[in-house]
Amino acid sequence: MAIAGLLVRVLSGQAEEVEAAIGAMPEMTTYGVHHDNHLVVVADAPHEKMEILFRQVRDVPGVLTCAVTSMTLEDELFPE
Amino acid sequence: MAVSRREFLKGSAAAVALSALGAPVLAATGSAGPDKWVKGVCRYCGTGCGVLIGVKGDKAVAIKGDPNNHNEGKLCQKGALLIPAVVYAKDRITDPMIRKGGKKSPLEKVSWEEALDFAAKHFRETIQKDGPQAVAYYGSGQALTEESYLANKIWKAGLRSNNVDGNPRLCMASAVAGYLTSFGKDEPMGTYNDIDNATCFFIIGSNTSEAHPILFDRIARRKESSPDVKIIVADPRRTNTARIADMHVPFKPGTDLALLNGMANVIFREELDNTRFIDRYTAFKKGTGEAASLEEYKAFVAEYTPEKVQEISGIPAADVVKIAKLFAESTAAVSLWCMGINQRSKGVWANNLIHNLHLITGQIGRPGATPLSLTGQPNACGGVRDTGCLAHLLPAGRMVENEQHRNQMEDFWGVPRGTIQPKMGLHTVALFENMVQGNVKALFIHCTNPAHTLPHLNKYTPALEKAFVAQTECFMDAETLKYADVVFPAAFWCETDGVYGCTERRYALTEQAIPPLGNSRPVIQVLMDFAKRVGVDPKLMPYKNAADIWEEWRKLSKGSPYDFFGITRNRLKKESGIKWPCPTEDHPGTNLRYVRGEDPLVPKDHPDRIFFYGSPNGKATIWLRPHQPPFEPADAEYPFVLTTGRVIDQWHTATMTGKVPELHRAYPSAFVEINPDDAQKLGVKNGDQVVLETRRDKMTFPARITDTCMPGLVFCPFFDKAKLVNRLFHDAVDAASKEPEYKICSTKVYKQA
Repeated sequence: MAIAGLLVRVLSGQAEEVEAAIGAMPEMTTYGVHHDNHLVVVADAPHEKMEILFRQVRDVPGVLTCAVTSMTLEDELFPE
Repeated sequence: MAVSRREFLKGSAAAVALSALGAPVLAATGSAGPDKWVKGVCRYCGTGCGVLIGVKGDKAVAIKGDPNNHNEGKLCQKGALLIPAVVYAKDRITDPMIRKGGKKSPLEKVSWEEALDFAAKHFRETIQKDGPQAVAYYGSGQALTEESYLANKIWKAGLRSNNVDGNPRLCMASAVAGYLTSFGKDEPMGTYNDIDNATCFFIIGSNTSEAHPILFDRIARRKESSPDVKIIVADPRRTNTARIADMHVPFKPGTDLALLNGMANVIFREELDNTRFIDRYTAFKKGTGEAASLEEYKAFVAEYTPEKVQEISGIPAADVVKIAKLFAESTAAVSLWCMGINQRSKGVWANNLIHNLHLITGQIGRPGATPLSLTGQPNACGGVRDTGCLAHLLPAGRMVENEQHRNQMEDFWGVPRGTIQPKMGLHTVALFENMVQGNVKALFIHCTNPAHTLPHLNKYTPALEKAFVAQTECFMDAETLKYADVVFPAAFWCETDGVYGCTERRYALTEQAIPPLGNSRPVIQVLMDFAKRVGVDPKLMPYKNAADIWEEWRKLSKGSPYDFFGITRNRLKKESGIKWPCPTEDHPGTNLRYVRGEDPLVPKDHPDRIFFYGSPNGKATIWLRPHQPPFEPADAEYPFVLTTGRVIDQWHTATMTGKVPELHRAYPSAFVEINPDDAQKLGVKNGDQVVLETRRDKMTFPARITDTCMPGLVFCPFFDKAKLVNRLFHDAVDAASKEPEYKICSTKVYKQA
């Protein structure tokens, strides 16, 4: 499994709806709304699936940009 | 409370994301995590985002954005997915290969010695028989700076051939010529810092959202910071970039020169020009090069009334006025553009006209006020433009056809005067034309895929069938490999070390993080081993590693307009990129080029606040450039305009992004975007197979019905090797930059029977 940290910028006033939508995705954990319009999100999924998750986030209504801040595959290569 | 390793990793990922917002985050502690983090630069676009590569043992296991680089810890999804899908791709080339029985025989694995001897023999014999002009190097804006510098030196001073060109000719050449003709020297005066200070963004011919996502995020941040910040997106397609625009201005493809002149006209008519700036820092020229006056310029642009611009471009006259006023009345305006401006038969003129707007309003040389051309590849600027790795250039802004410049380089490189040929080499399209004609017989390709990217492919693919082709490559699915006679497996990205120079004059180092895969080797080693076998004097290549080459290049820049003598390898290891000019080791780098006290080449006691030192009179040039239609506009027989470009999930020819299953699944194949009104007239529905027929060829694509395209325009992405859309394109080039016009050709569109 890979783990990716995401910083999601949302359109003004839509943070709560976007957080709820992303939080409902099984591989996603949200870590709150910051600076009014940013969500911190962590994706936990096989690396092959990561991009589709990124795209799903990007396609949530109200999402303006989705930046990836980290991606680790260590657990796939060196399992616990 | 016990925290599982997985929870720890997730918490760390959240902390890293939070820190990218500037939040103070306590450093994570614990045993999880890579052994070390190695600094680098993203391998994709010209934004030049800093990355940190996590290494465990000899494996790359993680990647994160460099918080100390301009991207402040953020990466786009393509960059984040470089590991493992691209680095450890199953089709990585790990052994040298040759075709022993000619082009139709299979590539067979051989030793390095056999591959190098095989290639060198062909080049040596070609030079002996047909002279040095019969061999060529075709490089890349993705090659490392040290590689491009070395290849340029080997060819021009070692083999005595100026046939050195590369894929930046296909993307950035018009921006280069635009900067040169307007300001006297290449490369922008502004940086990304200007984004944080601008109050008006004029984005034209750039889908920043998909092609430069991290810069788009920065623009969005600026927009959020103040309701006074205005964004104008001028583009025939309503792309994602327009989502944050105050005004999206669609116009008929190829009519932007009229718009830009029309904006200039409004600026004078509304008395929004900056007369003091114009008088002090600019001069006027007609297209012939003859001097002109301000009054002549005013009279020239006066012909472009808003009504005339509307007639030509389809932009409502009122909108022309509104855009011009937003631009000129703002406290600080940034213009951003990319291939929509550059890949045009009048690309240089379009660049000039953007610069004109900044010069007549004084929207330049202040924080947030600058023209800033966006770059498509990670090292087109630093690697190719600055090192002079093009047919007409020599390092640090020198020109092949200037005897003094040639002599300077000959002296510096320690070769006899007269070694460098006085005539410029063949630019890309001419090079492949000469290969078709049999004049150029052997080609060394590094880090690029011309069988996919050249215009009018049906015309130029035979060049690769005819000539002997040696190629460095990392991935087996590159289209050009079909034509390679010898393939050198290249160490990829973090398997070697070297410098990238991005859009904002920032040089940053990618350090070696892991060993080269299999038998692949760093390309500087391949180039030197190859050149020695061809007969180049080893004294010309006294390098043990890339750092030695950087050291020579750094010294060569000293005292030049590209002075980065202060950017030592050690500094690059410590810092996350430095912007030149940077003449001394204690200089922090330059944000505002040409500005007194900011640019070290314009000292604090200089009499002028702005000094365009690349120009003989120290002034920038405002050009009188008329609107001219594209080479092949739509007509009665071919009534649609076809344009091409990128999509967010794929990059260039997809030899890297195609390795990421989900990136590839998002856009597995090319498609054609059609406006709903056109689709209705054509009887086309979503998913229908649609034929695009141009004067060169015809191809079939599945239809995507979308109002992204304005009526009369269709769009295809160019990443798909199964649908080489460039087969449809003509090969018209800009007269000055020689950059092809990929953005506009006429086509028929109809549903497949």
